[in-house]
Amino acid sequence: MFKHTFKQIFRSLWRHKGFTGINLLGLSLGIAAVLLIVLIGHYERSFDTFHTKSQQLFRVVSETSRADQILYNANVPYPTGRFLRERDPGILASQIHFAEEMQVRLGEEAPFTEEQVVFADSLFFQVLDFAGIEDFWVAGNPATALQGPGKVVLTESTARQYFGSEDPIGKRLLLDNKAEAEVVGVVRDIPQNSHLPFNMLVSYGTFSNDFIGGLDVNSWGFTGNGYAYVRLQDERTRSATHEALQAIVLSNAKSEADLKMKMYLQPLPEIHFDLAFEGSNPTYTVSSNYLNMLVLLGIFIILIACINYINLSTSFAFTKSKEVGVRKTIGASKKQLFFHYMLETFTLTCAAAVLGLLLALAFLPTVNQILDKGITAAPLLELDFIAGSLLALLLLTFISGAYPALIMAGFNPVSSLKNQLALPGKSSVLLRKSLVVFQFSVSILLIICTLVIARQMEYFQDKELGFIKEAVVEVKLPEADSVKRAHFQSLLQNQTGIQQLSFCMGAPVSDNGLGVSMEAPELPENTSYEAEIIPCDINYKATFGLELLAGRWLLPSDEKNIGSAVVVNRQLINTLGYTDPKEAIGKRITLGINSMRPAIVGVTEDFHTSSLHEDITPVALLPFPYFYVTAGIRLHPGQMRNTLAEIEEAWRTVFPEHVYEISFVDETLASRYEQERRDYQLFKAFSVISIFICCIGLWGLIAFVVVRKTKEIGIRKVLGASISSIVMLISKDFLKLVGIALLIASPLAWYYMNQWLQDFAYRIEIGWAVFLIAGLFALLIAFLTISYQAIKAASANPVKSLRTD
Amino acid sequence: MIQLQNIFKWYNTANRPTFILKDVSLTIDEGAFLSIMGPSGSGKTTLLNIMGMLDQPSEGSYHFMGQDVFNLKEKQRKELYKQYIGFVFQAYHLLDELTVYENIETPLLYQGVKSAERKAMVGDMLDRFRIVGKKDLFPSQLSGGQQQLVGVVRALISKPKLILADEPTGNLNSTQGEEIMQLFQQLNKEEGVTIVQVTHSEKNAAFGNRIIQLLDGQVQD
Repeated sequence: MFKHTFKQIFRSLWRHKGFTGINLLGLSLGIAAVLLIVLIGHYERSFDTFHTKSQQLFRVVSETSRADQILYNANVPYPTGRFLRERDPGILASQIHFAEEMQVRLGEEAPFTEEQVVFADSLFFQVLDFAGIEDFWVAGNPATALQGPGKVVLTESTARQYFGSEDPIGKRLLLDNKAEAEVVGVVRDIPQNSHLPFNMLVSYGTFSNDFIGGLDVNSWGFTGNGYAYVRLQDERTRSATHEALQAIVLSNAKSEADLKMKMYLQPLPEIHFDLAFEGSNPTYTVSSNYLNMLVLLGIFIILIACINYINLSTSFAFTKSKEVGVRKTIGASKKQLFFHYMLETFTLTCAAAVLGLLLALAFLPTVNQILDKGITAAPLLELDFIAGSLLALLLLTFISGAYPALIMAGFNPVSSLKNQLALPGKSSVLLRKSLVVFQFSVSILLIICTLVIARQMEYFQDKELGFIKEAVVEVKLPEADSVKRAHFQSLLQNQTGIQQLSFCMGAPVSDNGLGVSMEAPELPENTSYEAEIIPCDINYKATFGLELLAGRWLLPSDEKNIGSAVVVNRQLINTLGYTDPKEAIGKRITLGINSMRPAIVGVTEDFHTSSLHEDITPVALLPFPYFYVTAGIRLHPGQMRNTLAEIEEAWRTVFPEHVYEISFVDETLASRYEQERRDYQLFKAFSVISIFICCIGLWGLIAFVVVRKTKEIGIRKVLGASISSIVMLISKDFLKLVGIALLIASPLAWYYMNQWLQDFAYRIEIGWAVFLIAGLFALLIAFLTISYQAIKAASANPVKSLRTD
Repeated sequence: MIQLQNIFKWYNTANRPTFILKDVSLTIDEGAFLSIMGPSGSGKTTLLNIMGMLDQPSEGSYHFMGQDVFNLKEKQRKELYKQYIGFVFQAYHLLDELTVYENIETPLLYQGVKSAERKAMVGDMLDRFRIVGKKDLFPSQLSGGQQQLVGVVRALISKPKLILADEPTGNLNSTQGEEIMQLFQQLNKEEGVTIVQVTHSEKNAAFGNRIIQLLDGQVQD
């Protein structure tokens, strides 16, 4: 029976190629989208799952109450790990320092920059054991590798990159021109789904003040890039750890406000998903909401494809009615027919699944590229997944196939044989229309979202930030040495391509930032205020085009008397309670850096120091040469290439031992909107897929309508109807549906996008234009889809269509 | 074999009943070869469909092989139908996607006949009607007469006691038509299959042993 049924199904699908093709295309695209989403979801959920008993693993984090917000920080002071261990030897705690980048030198070769280097103490591999990775240790002894100073463990890739096929063990490296280290071990590459990625591990004994700009690694006063992890094997150590963290807060509080700080344990599996720590995580963080939204999008896309199937099958059913009639008269029962047509759906769904799988595999590299991830297709081979997808296939078959199969099995054999089958009843037409409205609602929703995201991204580009960001570069200076700075400046003195040069810690929006506490007589006690310090020289204002509102700009003399004068922004004096910038001149503030108490000598107009996600913060521009680790250079736009080469040459003359690094300020800024760029790409892709599936479905539906109306069209033409009036006759109903879809989608999209925009302190207003554009676009696409067949039908010779009847 | 009593069939058009069949009573004995004649719209096909349990009358009773058909459950009626009745149509109504062999085999599939038995039965029929050579062709590759032959064979495969034929030769030329009629006659005489056919042609009607005339839904005597 099966064999025969399948044979018939294959022949039938083959014969009705248009029907099969449209459904196959729609379903396989839908399935491909869902598969990719499943892979993305699986990848994100797989973060940090390769350690033994990951429920025992925690990271120490803190939360601090500020005047108007709670700050979450995953970074902890460097002595934290050791303190926990010493407090209770039962606590397995490991302290690390995470270096975004570090300069590495092999022998006499030129230095280069290595990214993601972790300084880790000897307990590191007892806490995070990477045991889930097969043969994690390629060479070396995990027990002793990180003991004592001057030890390095490389990942396989790093080792190969440095030493090729040579044995890396025993080789020596120079790190940041500060410390020498010997390679003592090689481990497998750290998977990309680790919240703590690294290419190199350096023993914590090697770590010193030099690596963090001279700050004291034993100080409790700052957090830098330190993280502490603990493995808790029982309740006792858990409570001991909590108690120890309390002790840290208590013993380091300098004011009552400091006592409000909390240090606590964050479970390792939550790290990747907790947005509160987004700013201080070594890699990106993703919200569960975001993943849920992806799943929802996937479900929508597949539903759109299912609806195509339902609509086309029920329309097609009337073409197939004769076949149903024949089968019934030769003895087929309702059940047998239902089963037959369900099997037909199942066959098509399976074929679509295979096609969808191939599509997904083909697009996976592109998705990885857009999302910057290392997603593999390996999970598709897992037993859970295979079982799940079989279930999903059955469900899909049921959703798409049950209604059409029920309709077909229910045909009256007599009327279906006579071709007298009543045209689809009111309820089934209503159902079909509602389904089309649903499809277009989803598509229009996606289009509106895409447009809003695109407009917000345009806004990122166009928004005045209060400083000049175009044609400005930041050149890293490896040492804050005044002699070398002067040398560098003198070499570039005669460069006509340079407009302005300023030594500073960084551009207003920069990867370098220095947030400190701020106190002033004007501020209430017991509440902490924070200010952002930008250490900079006298050329900073000219280089970045800052606007002075009152007082004076910095003078060379201020640099000689550090801490005497400061220029602040409008936001800072507003925080102090002044509205008129002139009032603030001469007032003193205390900054949490060497407890300085400079006088405000000038006030600038507000400018942004972070992405538009954040409000403008109080900023203090402080002449402080110790922190001049960047040269901000504004170039003449016309001759940048030459000038950049000259700058590099000058830099290499002054710092021959170091790696040259340069970045454009506008690019740094753009990188702050990576997540939005990805959202944009994602929504764009989903919009395209969904509108495409909608349209092929519409195409199929119109084909049936045209067939059914052939006679009517013929009669109307004989009566003198024009082609355009007939095209309108056919299109009108469907275009009306798209209009209804617009009405449904608009408020939903408005609500959802308003939520999305809440993430930005500076955002666009969603105007009516977005809805209008999306609506017109959907109408246009739908009309184009319809009109081809409508025009064809309308231009056909009526004599022919009337004769065939 | 067939006892129809006071069969009425009507449709409501504009709230007024339009009668298709008006008080038809008819008894057909086993072994009969009955031809129903009458002009278009006289209710011939409806009467045939009611006999074949494809349609239900608005009023009246129907006994088939001693069973009260309209008081049976759908399932039992279906069983009765599968066991005893074969249909032959004017437009052949072969399944386009199936070969000759498969078209003939399909009723057996619906009856759940085992594979080996199926093979033997279809093979027998192909032999008997000398269409073995055509068994792998599709309907579109056959002439009208050949298609109707396959249609008849398909109706015969489940060894029905009653064959209901709705203008079986309507789409055929006279030679092809005559061959089908001879086949019916042979089945009727040699195997005792009861045959009821609807026809316009006096000549075809003459192949049978009884003729009834239908006019405006009533049997004319």
